[in-house]
This record gives sequence, structure tokens and C-alpha cells, in this order.
Amino acid sequence: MKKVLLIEDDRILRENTAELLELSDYEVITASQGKIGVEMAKLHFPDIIVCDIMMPELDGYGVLETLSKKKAQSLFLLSFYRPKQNAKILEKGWI
Amino acid sequence: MFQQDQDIFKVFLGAVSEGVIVVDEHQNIVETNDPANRMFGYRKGDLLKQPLNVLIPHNYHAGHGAYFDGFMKKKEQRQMGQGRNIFGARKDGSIFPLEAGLNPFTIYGKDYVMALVIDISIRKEQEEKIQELNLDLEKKVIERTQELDKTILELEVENEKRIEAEEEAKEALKREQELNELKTKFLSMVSHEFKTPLSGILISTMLLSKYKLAEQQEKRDKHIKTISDKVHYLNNILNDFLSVEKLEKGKIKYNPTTFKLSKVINEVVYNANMLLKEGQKINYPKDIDSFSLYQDEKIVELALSNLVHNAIKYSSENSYVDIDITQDDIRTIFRVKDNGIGIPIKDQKNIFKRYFRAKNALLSQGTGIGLNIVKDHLKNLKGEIYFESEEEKGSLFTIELPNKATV
Repeated sequence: MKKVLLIEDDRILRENTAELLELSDYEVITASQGKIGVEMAKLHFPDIIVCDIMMPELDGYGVLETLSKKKAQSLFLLSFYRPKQNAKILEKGWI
Repeated sequence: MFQQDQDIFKVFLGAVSEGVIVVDEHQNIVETNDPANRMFGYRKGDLLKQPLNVLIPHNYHAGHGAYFDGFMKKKEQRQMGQGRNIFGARKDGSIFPLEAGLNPFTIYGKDYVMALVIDISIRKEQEEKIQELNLDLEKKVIERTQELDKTILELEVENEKRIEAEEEAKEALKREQELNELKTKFLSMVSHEFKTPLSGILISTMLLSKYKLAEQQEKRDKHIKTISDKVHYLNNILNDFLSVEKLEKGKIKYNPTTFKLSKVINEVVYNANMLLKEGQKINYPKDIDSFSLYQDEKIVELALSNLVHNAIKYSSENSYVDIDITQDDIRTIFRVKDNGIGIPIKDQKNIFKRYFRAKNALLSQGTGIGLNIVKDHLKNLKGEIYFESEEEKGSLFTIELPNKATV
């Protein structure tokens, strides 16, 4: 079973996404903030990280920056909002 | 006269090209030469023994007599062209300008004056013409200068108009840019504010469709509640947007009623509890059954909800939000305190401005409308809102409201 770390500050979105992933047979751990997410990534070694971009304190880019210094796993950024942000992600070669 | 030297004298007189007139001390003409005769229009010899006055225009007679006497006393030469304009009278009565050089001399004990005379009418005419031309020229210069001045003035006015137009254009451009920026911010804010709850709703419906078994009713209920909550949340945001419009146009009608404060507080706390983060708790007064207000209940609830929701949103897990209420005969004071991220000093002056978000709140959900609306409503209800805040320590918002609305 693949382990997914879900970092999302909106509670409903976080819980719902987790539930959906669990129903699709993923093991899901969640974090409500970037900082907590980074800690959990270090602790639990998830296979996949799904991360919101716009979050208070440490945002999605910050999470990515921190984790890519340590040999991290494949990382997904969730971006609902702006095409500009997506362009920025692609530019840096992230998925 | 001059019998002995007459021949020599005649030669001299004839050789001189100017008119020569010699007068004695009584101003009688004693000798003239041909040029002088021609100049004044007399035949040879006609002028001899005539008084000098025949050659002087009538209106100068008196003046000339006195001048002549003075001149005879001093006996000084006077060169041509010096002094005033003088005129001669021809035999036919016509008058012409002339120049005369006067040379007094004495011979055989008698005083004479020899006048060398030049007709200067042509020169004068030319001078006059030159003067006329000069005047003309000056006039033209003045005219042209005036025309130029006028043109310059017109140009200046035109220039001013252009500068004005340019400034207006710049101003309009700036406004346009600001508006555009606001629009971009607004759209991005709206898309964030709407898409997050909409995504929540969407996933809830996806999950709902997956729970088909009878024993999964609890799960279905949970998602139906999520959907309902989020719809309410979206509805509230829309109401906020709509009340901005209404507040701006002064279209709001307040509806004051008498109500118990505890009822509103319970409502606010009940709704806020659903938004709490893990470990967050709201402390609120439970001994306020005696407090009541004559106000617009909906607005009071809106204002308090706003403060409490902000307190929850901008503070972390495992923190407290404290609501405190006091009332005297006139006013009711509400205090909402949190230990959250606070408002940076730099942003504090803007915190009630519409769509404004503090720097440290930009990544949190929010429209920047809530406090703006609350402030406008409270102003209309003769109330007040103010705050104290320190970044990373927390905020304390206070609302003061009269117990009896006067609207």
C-alpha cells in the first residue's frame, strides 16, 4: 500500500481528500500546515506528498524547498488557483 | 560795396555753390549770389537793399529779429546745420527748409553778416521719408510683435491644455492600472475563496456516491452536513459582497428589535465551533442572561461572528479565543481576544480598508471584506470598533454599541 502525505490547511478539503484516497486504497497521513507536513515527511517517509500551495506560514513552495534538500520522495503540488503558479512549478522541473 | 575788389569778390561769389547772402547791421541785404537768387526765386539784383525779412516766412519775423540782434552782439560764427530747423520764403510765398551758416565780419567800420544758405527740402523730404519708413517699420514691428505675442499666448494656452490633457491621461491610466490590479487581486481572491469550499463540496459528493451500503448512513450524513455547511459559508461570502454594494449606496435598512444577548452569543459560538482547529477553544461569558439590546440583531451577530471567525482563523491549533462582554446603562462592550499571528504594525492602519489583507494573512483564506463591512455597519449604528494587536502575539478587538439603537 502506497503511503500518501496530504498537506492542506482547509479542514474539509483535507479530510475529504484523505477519505477519497483511503477509499482508493492508499494509506493517508495528513498535516494541516506546511511545517507539520515537513516534520511528518521526515518521520513517515511517504511515497507521495500532495501539498496545497497557498497556506499560512510555510507554503507549498517552502515545503518543497525544505524537502528537496533532504532526499525526498516524489512530490505533488496541488494548485487550484493560478496558471502562473503552475508555470512556475513546471519551470523548476517539479511535478 | 567793395568797389576796389569787386572783380575778385564777384569771382568768389560766383564760385561758391551755396547761396550767399550778405546783410548789414540793419538786416538789409547788400549782396547775393546766383545760387541764392535762384533758391529764393528772384532775379539778379532784385534782392539788393531789401530787408532780410523778405526771405523769412512771416511767422518767424519777430523771432528772427531778436535772434539777429543777439547774434550781432556776440559776433560768433555759426556753422551750418547747427541749431533749430529754419525756413526760407520764396518770392512766390512758398516756404522751404534751409540750412544757414552765419559768418559775421566787419569791413570799413561797418558790421556785416555773410550767410551761406542751402536748400534742404530734398534732404528734409528724404529724412521725412526715412522717418516715415522708420515709423512704418516700427509700426510693422509692433504689429508683428503683437501678432507673435498673440501666437505665443495661444501656444501657451494650447500647451497648458496639452499638459492638462496629458496629466488627465496619466491620471486615468493610473486609475485604470490600480483598478486592474484590484480586479486581478479580487479575482484571485474570489477564485480562492470560492474554489476551496467548492472543491470540498465536490469531493463530498464524490464520496457520497461511494457510500451505498445501509450501514454507511453515518458517512453519508457527515458529507451532507459538509455540503450544507459549505453552501452556507459560500452564501455568507456572497452576502458580504452584496452588503458592500448596499453599504456603499446607503441602501441598508436596519431593523432594531429587543433581544437577549445570550441568544446571539450562543448562536455565534455554536457556528464558530464548527470552524475550530484542533485543540482550539472558545471561552465566552455564561452569566449574561440579564443583558439585552435594542439593536439590529443580525448586524450584531454578523459583527461578532466576524471577530470570532478571524480570531479562530488567525490563531493556531491548541489556542484559546476569549469573548468578554460588559454592559452599563448606555453601552455594551464586546471584546474578542486571540493569541494568534496578530497584525503587523505597518498594516494596522489599513486593516479596515475593503479588500485589504495584512501581509501575514495573505496565504490564509479571506476576502478582506469582513472588517470593512463591520466597521461600516457599526458606524451606521453609532457604534465603534477598534483593536490592539502585536505581531505573533495576538489581537484584541473591541466593539462598543449603544444599548438602544436610534436608527
